[in-house]
Amino acid sequence: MKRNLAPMYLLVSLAFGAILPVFYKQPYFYFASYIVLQYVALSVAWNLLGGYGGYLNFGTSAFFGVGAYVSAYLFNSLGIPEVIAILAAGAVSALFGVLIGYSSLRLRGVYFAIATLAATTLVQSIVLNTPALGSAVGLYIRFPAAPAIYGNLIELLFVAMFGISVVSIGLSYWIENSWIGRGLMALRDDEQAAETLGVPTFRLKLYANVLSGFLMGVVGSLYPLYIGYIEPYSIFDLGISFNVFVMTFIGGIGTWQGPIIGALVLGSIQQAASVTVTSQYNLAVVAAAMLVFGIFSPGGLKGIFSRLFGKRSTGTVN
Amino acid sequence: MALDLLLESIATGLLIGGFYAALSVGLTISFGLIDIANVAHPAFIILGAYFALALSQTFGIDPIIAGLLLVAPFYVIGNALYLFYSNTFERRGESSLAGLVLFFGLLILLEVGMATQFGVGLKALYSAYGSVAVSFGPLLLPLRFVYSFVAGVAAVIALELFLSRTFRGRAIRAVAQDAQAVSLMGAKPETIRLIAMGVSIATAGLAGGLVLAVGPISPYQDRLLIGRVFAVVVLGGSGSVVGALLGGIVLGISENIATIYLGAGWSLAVSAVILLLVLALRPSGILRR
Repeated sequence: MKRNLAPMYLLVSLAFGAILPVFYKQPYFYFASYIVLQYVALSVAWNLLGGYGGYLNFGTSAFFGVGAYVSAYLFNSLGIPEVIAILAAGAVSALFGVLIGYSSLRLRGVYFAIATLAATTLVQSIVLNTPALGSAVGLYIRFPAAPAIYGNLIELLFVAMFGISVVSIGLSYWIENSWIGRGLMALRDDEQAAETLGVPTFRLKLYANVLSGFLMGVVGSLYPLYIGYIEPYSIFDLGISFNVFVMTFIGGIGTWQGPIIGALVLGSIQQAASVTVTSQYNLAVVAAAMLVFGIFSPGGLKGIFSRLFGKRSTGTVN
Repeated sequence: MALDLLLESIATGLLIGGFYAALSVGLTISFGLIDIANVAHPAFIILGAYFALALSQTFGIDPIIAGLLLVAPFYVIGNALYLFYSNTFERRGESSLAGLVLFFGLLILLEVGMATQFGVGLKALYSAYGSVAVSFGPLLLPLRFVYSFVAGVAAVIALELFLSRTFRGRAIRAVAQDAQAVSLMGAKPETIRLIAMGVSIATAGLAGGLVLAVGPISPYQDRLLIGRVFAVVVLGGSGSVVGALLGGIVLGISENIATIYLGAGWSLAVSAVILLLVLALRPSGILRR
């Protein structure tokens, strides 16, 4: 019964997002919400492998950055339409996921985590040494014309990011309740046992990594349009990867609701705080929050809600 | 002429390799022997570098001596870190993954702490030998790298002797092989891990002194080291102290050769490529046992 309603929820949410800017005009709201939604989508994507499979990706910014640079290059230098540039960005980022996956997903989870850190350095170095991508100087993006229905570009970007988040959430919900999700959770809890019982562990991890990479790439592809200028140090910043990891962790890792809750709560706090404190302290607060949750409530906010309302949490990494 | 340049870069690479070994031996002990993937290890090294800077400036001592002085306090910090980790995360099982949460958080906190405490700019110590080079046959070698090489090799030899000759060192290797058997013998694996983590972080103190001796320091410098130390550890086979020296030398020489033929911009990519390749092709490292 509940599952039959899922597509309807999806459509209603999408319609809500698309219509909102027509009625509500407040540029700063869209400017801030875009970033929060970006983190919702990134965290949901991260959770696919990190939450269900227990393989922690510390290279979110690499996938995000690959998406950003591919779309910026295609759109800026070659004049390719945005929609195609966005899909191409997702595709290249997914391919990147295949490469990292083949290199390290056969090993223990710790090695995958380290490999993703190294992969971030590698893509950053490639961009730094490629003049066509602006090297260390960066790339300025020509803004496209604002569409007729929405007053300005930021509203369109908000609608697009809203749509990406909703679709990612839908995918994540579907995966959690399908054989892929069950297989991933089985290998997270005991990889050897799962393998013995016939779960194609490596293939599942690779699928999750590729899908997660695709979504992160798509999210990243919009960022140049939002920010107008990209350069390798801020795009491939460890802070982005860290934020995504912490948001998922604090929200409730390994559940489809967890990353949404975490990204909405922490993302909103960060947006509010960014007006008052420096980004350095911002990151420190996030790190401290994560340690507190890691020690006292590994199930995250979702785990606390579930305990309060008497439901059993779906599971955590621990 | 080109051959001279190649020879010189190999020689310098070798020296830098000893330096990299000093940065990585501690990690190979924590990661390889007691299964703690301390991604914050480089951040502790940079913390050590700042402490070494303070010591050198206050007492006018050499940065490498300052690093040596830091070994004892950093041993205690390592002990404290392990106690915190084992009481909060390790007890819940699946230790190495849950530990990543702690150490990733710690990495960020240390960076922010250093950035606010010491400022984000570069700080340097101008030592007497900072810009001196010694000629060795036809080669001209920077003295600061010679010193850090000697210190790195000495640290590796000392740790190898510790792990193979002393009772406690052998106990650490025993825990790495079979913790359950150790506890059946009546020893506490936790106590042995406590010592191992102390030793691991103690090397970060010394390494901090070497980092300061080699060049200027900045609070986010650890990010340039993460890929390198893990590449060295994995390349040498995690848990192998001598492997860390070999891994460091391979990385040092490869980076220098890449710098000549591809340009200095690629030197960071070398460790990333090595790490990804070793993980894909030979995850147990070059010294497979």
